[in-house]
Amino acid sequence: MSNSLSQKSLPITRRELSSGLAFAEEYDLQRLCKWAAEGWRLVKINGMFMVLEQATPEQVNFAIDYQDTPDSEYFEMCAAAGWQHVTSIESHIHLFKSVLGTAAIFSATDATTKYQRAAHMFAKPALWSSVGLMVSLVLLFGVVQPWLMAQQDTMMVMIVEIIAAIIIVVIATLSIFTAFPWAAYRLRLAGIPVRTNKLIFGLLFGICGAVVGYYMGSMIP
Amino acid sequence: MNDSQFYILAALVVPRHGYAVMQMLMEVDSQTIHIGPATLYTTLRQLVEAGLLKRCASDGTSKIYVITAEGRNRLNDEITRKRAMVDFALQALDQHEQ
Repeated sequence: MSNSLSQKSLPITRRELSSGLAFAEEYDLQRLCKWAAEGWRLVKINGMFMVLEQATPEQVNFAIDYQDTPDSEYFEMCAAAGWQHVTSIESHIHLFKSVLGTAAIFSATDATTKYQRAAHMFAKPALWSSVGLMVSLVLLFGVVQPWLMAQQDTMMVMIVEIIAAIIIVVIATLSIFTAFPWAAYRLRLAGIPVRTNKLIFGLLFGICGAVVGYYMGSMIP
Repeated sequence: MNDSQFYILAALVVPRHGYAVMQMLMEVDSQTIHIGPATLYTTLRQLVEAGLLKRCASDGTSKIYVITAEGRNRLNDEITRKRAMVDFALQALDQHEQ
């Protein structure tokens, strides 16, 4: 947590690491409720961080919905039903808050279609980034590495390996932030319990981190 | 056709704003019928894309929706289907009580 004491006109803010809405939506929403009651208002979600601002404590509920670039009617309908729009991520993921006791933002039967929409949104980016990652890895280990092993110039080899590592890390990051959420939503729809879902992705993240770390470490002379 | 779609189609036999549909259904039976605003918005979009509803006017940012001819046909078909289901269940219960 980092506080920034700024000039008188600016409120105090802090950042909290999100657990990942796709993997731990309920946990993050509970934390937002707790922070709101302690006087920390959610301002926006910046990448993996939730940006909070000091404010009057309030007892509120939070909800997330997935809509692809909705128009103003959507936000007005939610507002009219007591759900105030807080922030959106990439115009696809929308966070709302309401006072306690407000009727749910979804119908009881609609939770499934919400995750279907979410999975659908991530499907194409997940597919393309995963294909990109696989092609990159095949090129790296099948073409670039054998070529590098035949080179004499160690400085050039190191530079090419660093560039290749950066490209792989960027593509892998894109893949993780699209394919993993897609898979998490599909597992939810398949009825896998949230706790199991979190365990699976914790392990996958760990494995990916270990592979990247091993590769980066192998570049050190 | 799910329950939300059924109720929304029936509520839009006359032109209404989207939010007026939600209020109307709550007044009818808030315990049994709850269509949240996010569900309402999604369902309205789906029904318009399917040609069962159309937007007939706009009052500022609030759109007014009404059922189409195809929507009426689907609603009538769904009513017939649900009546058959209810009749079947009532008959089964009557036979059991006898």
